[in-house]
Amino acid sequence: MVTPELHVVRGLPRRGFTDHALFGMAVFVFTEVMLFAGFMSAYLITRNSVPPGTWPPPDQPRLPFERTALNTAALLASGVLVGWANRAFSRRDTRGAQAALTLGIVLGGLFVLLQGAEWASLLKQGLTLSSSQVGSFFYVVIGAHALHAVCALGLLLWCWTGLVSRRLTASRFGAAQLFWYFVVLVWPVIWMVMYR
Amino acid sequence: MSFLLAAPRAALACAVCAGGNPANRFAIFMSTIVLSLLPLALFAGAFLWLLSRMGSRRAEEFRERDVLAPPDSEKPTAAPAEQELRAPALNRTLPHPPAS
Repeated sequence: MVTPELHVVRGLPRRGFTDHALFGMAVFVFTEVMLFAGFMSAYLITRNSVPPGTWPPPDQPRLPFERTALNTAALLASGVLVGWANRAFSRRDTRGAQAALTLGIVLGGLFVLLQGAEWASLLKQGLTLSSSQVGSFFYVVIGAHALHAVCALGLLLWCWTGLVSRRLTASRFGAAQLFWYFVVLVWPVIWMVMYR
Repeated sequence: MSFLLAAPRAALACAVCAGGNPANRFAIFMSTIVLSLLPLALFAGAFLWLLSRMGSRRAEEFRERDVLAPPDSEKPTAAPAEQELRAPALNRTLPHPPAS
């Protein structure tokens, strides 16, 4: 019995159109952008529907715009440092990437800590979730952002451990960075709209 | 009906959107514009990014093909083993099964 010769002809190895982790994170960030846009829209409509001069209500504290500028600066600096870490990582400069990422994570953690201190101070002054519409919006929107910041910091820490053990992939780092940039860039908008 | 659609403020069809003070109406209008355009802008951005990605991917494929393909002068003289070393994924032959 004669068996015909089998030929398997393959083309070039097939590669993904784009990085899956990055694409998945981009879709997630897309939905988050819409979530925060919805928050901002609801806040602006509610704020403009009250009579002039009654926002915030007289018995409620004002949100500390100037004091929060420090938190904002820390967060923006953290975003820049994570960008530097990425540049160093793409140049295979692991030590430089590690230093920049460490500093970026520390500044991100400082932002979260300062926000926590601000929350404690506002709670002492009587601003709670149910005390007024200002309190409701403040804790929901700023709380949602803080939750995102903590999750993004967790992702960056995961990348940091990967960088230390030399097992960090560009895919993982890219996705974590995208989420962190979202957290960093959405904050100035929230700050300008809600604190001012 | 058409009157209500054309002039909702006059009819006070919606106390939130059409009524209220001018600042509130402006906030509703701007929110509507932003929330309508934002997804379109995001989709457009994603589309442009994918287009640029497609272009760079295509360029990479051509570069890869040029690197992997042996020069024309070497094609007839190169031994099969050598060809396999040069482009392992291009052409592979399965071994014969034992004749029964």
